[in-house]
Amino acid sequence: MLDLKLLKELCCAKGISGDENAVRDLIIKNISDYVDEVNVDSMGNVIAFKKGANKPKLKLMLSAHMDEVGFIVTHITDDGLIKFTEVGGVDKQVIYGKGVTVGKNEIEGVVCVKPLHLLSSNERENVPSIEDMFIDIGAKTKNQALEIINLGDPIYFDSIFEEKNGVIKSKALDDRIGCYVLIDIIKSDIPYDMYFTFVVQEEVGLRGAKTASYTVAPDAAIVVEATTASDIPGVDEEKKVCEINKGAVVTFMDKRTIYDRELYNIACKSAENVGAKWQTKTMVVGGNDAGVIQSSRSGVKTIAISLPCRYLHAPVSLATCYDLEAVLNTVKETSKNIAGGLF
Amino acid sequence: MEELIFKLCQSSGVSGDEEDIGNLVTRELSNYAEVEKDVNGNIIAVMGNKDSKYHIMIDAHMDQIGLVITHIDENGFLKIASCGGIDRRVLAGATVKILGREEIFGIICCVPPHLSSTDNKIQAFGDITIDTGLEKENIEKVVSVGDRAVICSKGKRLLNNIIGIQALDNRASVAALIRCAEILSKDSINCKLTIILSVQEETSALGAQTASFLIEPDEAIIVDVSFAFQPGVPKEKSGIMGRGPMIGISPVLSKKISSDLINLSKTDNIPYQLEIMGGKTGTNADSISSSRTGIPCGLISIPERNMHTSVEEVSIDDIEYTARLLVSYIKKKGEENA
Repeated sequence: MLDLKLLKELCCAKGISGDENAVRDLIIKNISDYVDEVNVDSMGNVIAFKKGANKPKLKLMLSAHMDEVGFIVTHITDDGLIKFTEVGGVDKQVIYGKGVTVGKNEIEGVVCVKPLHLLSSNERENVPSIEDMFIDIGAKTKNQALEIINLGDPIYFDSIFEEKNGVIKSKALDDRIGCYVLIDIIKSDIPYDMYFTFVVQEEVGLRGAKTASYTVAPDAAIVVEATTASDIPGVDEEKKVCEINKGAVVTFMDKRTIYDRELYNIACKSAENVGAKWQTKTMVVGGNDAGVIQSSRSGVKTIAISLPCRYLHAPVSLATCYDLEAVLNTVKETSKNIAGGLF
Repeated sequence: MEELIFKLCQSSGVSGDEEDIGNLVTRELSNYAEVEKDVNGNIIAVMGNKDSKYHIMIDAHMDQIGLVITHIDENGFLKIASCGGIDRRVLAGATVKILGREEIFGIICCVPPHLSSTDNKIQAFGDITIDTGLEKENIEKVVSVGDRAVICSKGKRLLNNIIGIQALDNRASVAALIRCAEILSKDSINCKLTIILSVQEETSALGAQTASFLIEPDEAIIVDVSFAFQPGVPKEKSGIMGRGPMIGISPVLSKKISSDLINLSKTDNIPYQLEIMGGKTGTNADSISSSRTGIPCGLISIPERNMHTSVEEVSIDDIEYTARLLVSYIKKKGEENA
C-alpha cells in the first residue's frame, strides 16, 4: 500500500535547487525514528545510515534528490513587474500564462500574457522567450514590490496533487518519488546496513550528489529517479523513451552515464524475482546524479531505477501508482541483492 | 464583492454550455428582481417601474472561452477544439478541468523540446491533446465528445485590490451588474430596467442579438472588459487597472449616452477613463445597436490584463465603480423620463 499522504506532503513541499529546506525538514521528520544516524552536510544533503539484519558485502548507497525546477526573481521593473530566470530545465513552452507564487510568503502572481487580439501572426505561432516575460503581483511600483519580495526569491508554479484511478498528477514528482521510495525502505526492516542520501541541487548540475557520495564513499549506488515518458501523441514510436504503466525503468545508458552492466542485470533480475514489471529506456537521453556518483573517489558501481513520468518539467507531471509500486519493489529487492553480494 | 467574483469565476459556463453560471446568476439576482431564462439560455431579470414607458437594458455576457472535446483516441487521449478565442500559447503543460459526467483533471500534452520536431512553434488545435492518464475504456465512462473543458485556475489576491483568475472576461461585468441590482433594489427607479446576462458572446454574440430583439429596449448599456496597460499593450489602446471603468466612444455607440456617462462620472465623482474606437467595439454593443430598428447603445469596459487566459486580472475597485456608474445612470434616466 502506498502512503499517499506522505507522497502528497513530499510533492507539495517547495524546494527549488539551493532552497531545499522545507523538503529536508520533512524528510528528517519522517526518517529520524527509523535510522541509526542522520547528518546534514554543508551543502544541505541529508545523509542517513541504517543498520540492517546483517553486515553487507558491499557498502551500498541509495540516493534521491530533493530539489525541483522553478524560477528565481532577478529584477523588478519600475512598473513593479518581476523579471525572472529558470532554476533547472523548465520547458519554456509551459511558462506563459501560468499562475505562480513568489518567495517564502507565497505572494500570488501570474505570468503576464500579451492579449491574443493584439498579436502579429509571428507572435501567435511562436513560443515567447523568457526574456520577454514578466510576473505580475499587482504592484504599481518597484518599491511596492520590494516591500514584500526580494531579488533572489524562489518562484513556483501553481499546481495540484491528485491521485484518482491509480493516476498521480502533481508537481515535483521529479524527484520526490525517489525521496518517497527511500523513506519507505528506511521505515521497513532492511536485510543489510545501508546508506541513504537525499541530495540537493541535482537540477543545476548534479552538485549535491558529488559531495554526498564523497562522504559516504560507497562501493555501489542506486539512484532512484523520475524519468521522462514521452508516450504521448506527437512523438514518434521510437522516441517514446519509456511508457507509463509498463513498470520500473532500468537504464543501461543515458547522456551522463553508462551504467554498470552487472548491476543492470541484477536490477532486471530483481524486478523479475518480485514480479514487478520493468522496462528500459529506448533512447539515450537525459542524465541524473548517477553521473557524478559513478566517478566519485576511485569509482562507484552505479545503477538508476526510475519511475516513468510524463511532463517532468511542467507545472504538473503525471505518473501511476502501478509504476511507483514496481519501482519500490524493484529498488528494495535490488538493494538487498547488491548489499548482500547475491550475484 | 471579492467572494462573489471568485464564485462567479469558478462557476463554469463555456459558450453554449452556460447552465451552471446561469443557475448561479439566477440565484443571485432573484434577491432583487424577477428572473427568467429565455430560449437560448440568456438570463433576463426585470426590476424598477414595470409600467414605465421608458425601458433601459443593461447587458453583460456570462459565457467564457474554453475547450471542447472533439475526439477520444485509442489510447484515451482527448483531442480538442477551441470554444471562443483561446490563446494557444498558454496551453502547453496547463492543467485543465474536464466537465464530463464527473469533473476530472487533465494535462495538456507538451512534447519535451529535445523530442519535438517543431521546435519553438505553438501547436495547432488539431495537434493539441489532453492527457488524463486513463485508458480509452475508462475515460469514456466519464467524458464524451462535446464535453467542455476549462483551464484550471485558483483565485488569486494580488496587491492593490487586484484579483487574478480565469473568466473575469466577463464575470467581472456580471458581478458589476449584480452589484448594481443590489444597490437599486434599495432605491426606487422610475423607469423599467431589464438586466441581461447573455450567452455565446465569445463565439457569435448570439445571446445578445436575440435577447435585444425580445426585450426591445429604448436604450442599452453593455458592460464588458477591455485591455489594461501591460507590457506589449500600447497605452493608446488600453486603460489602467484601478482607475475606473472605460467609457466607450465609437461610431457604433450613441454619442449622447457616451457623453451622459462622462458627465455623470464627473458630477458623481466616479473615476473613469475613455476608450476610443474607430469602428466596431468587439462587444455585444455591435449586434445590440442594430437590433430591429436600432437601439442606442453605451459601452462601459472594465480594464483587464492577460485577456483570454486563465490568469486574467481585474481591479475590484473598477467593478465597484462600474456598478456605481450604472446606478447613477439608470436613476438619472428614470428621473428624466418619469
